[in-house]
Amino acid sequence: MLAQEILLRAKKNVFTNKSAGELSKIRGEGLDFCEIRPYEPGDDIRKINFTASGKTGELQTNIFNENKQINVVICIMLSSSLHFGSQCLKSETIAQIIALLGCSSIKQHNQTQLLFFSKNEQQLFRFNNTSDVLHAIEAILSWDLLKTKPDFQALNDYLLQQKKSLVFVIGDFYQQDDYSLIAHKNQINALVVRDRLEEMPNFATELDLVNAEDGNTIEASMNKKLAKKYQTKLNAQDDKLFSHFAKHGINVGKLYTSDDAFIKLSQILR
Amino acid sequence: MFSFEYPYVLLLLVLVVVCVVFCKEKKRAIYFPHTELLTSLVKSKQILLNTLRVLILGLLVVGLSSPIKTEQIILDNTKGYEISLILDASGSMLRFDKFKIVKEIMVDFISKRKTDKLALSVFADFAYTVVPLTYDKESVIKMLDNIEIGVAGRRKTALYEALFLSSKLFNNSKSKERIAILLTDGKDNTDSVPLDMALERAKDNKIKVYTVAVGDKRDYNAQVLKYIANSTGAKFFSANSRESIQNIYKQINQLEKSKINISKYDKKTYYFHYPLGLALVLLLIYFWRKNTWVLNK
Repeated sequence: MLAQEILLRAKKNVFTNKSAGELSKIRGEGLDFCEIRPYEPGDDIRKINFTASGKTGELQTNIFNENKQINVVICIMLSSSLHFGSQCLKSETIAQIIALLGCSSIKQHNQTQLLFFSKNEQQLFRFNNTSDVLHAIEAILSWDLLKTKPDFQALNDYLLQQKKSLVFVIGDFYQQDDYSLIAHKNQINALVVRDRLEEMPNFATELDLVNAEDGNTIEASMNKKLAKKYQTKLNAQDDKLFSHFAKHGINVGKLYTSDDAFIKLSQILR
Repeated sequence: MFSFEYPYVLLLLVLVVVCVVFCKEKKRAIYFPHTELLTSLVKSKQILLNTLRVLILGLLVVGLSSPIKTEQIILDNTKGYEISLILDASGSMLRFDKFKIVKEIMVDFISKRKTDKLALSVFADFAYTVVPLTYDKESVIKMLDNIEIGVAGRRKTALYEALFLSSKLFNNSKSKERIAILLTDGKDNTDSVPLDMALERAKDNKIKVYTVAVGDKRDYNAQVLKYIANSTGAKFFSANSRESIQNIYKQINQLEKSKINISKYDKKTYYFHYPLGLALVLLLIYFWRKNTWVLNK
């Protein structure tokens, strides 16, 4: 029921909103206008914008985003830490993202595949129609995330074997992995899914915090001071990761479970 | 003496240790991502809180076992005996190891007179008081141990002076039972204090003077010693072996048996409030460090 609801909302957003129509940022042949820039030798003379050339006094050419069918790979980095959320679970937010990206991709007739990466198991879905998206949503919602570990090496190996793709890596990115190799070959978008409570865990009550990966419990009476300390340390870790992404041209965006996934995704991928 | 009123309660300390290790506090638990980062932040605080918990529980158990200090209090001094021990420390006491033997027997005697006041005097060329009348038996025994031949000279025997000096110790005495035990192996050969004066002083102070002569009969003046003892209502003893000296002191001990047991009691000073107070302070620190949700709001 929840899977269908997620899909319906995504379909409504994607198929009724024109702004979500273009996912490709690769420049080339197409109808999606990108910019006007001075003509350079080798540019298609059919794309010369004579109006702009007349105004500026030198040759200007129109640049379009590539409109041809592109290869889209959505990679979900499954980990036990996704089993957390104050308003909805992080895994549910990821399901919403899958629905939105899947529907957009289908709308544009792209070759789309989705992969779940975890230490012991990998699962592949090819999106030809919305029922495939529904299956993928159902798969992540029913996945037993407890004791699941992320497998970056498998993601790395897989993307290096694939042809050039538009890649979406989705997870909570608590590991400091090296994306330089796959970023060199692919256009990567990293979507960091987090909950506001996990970044500022001021529970204001006594709780035992259980590590979902190994079941270890830590007795931490979280208070504002400790929560701020934790937030500072986490921010430092994130800054390190984001600077790594920036260095390798990876587009990165953070989505919180409380956010509207469609609006946030539109902002990140604009 | 420091002890615990209920020492068996201290067994609860084992329970405290077992509880700290095995009985974990049950709280609501949630799955939380990235606990590795959090663990590094809370580790030192956790150690502090656990230590505080152990200390608080330990101090409560110690408080519950009621630490006390027991002192023996003598209620009525007038009912106890006051005994002055007068010891000959002249050079002649060295012969046949008499001095050492007598000292050992006296130590035994002192330790048996638990509720009495004791004094120690020695004499040779002159007499002097080593310890005035006191309940502190340990000090008397310690001083007796340290006395050696020669501390008051070696050649003479100031017997009467010793009796006179020892009698003066009872000047301010309130006790009804006053005893002096005079041990010697020789005759008085000084003229510092005449016998009559010494005896008069002893009689005035109502002191029973037990006289003990040790060694060869030719060395001491048995008649004078007997006279002193009889005039003060006591007895004269003579001995020339370790056993016989021991028997004499036993006899005196039996003759002058203390009957004042009812007049003493054990004063107990309770110290439970110290561990409890400390536990309370630690408990406050525990709450403060724990940052309960009320403080945290």
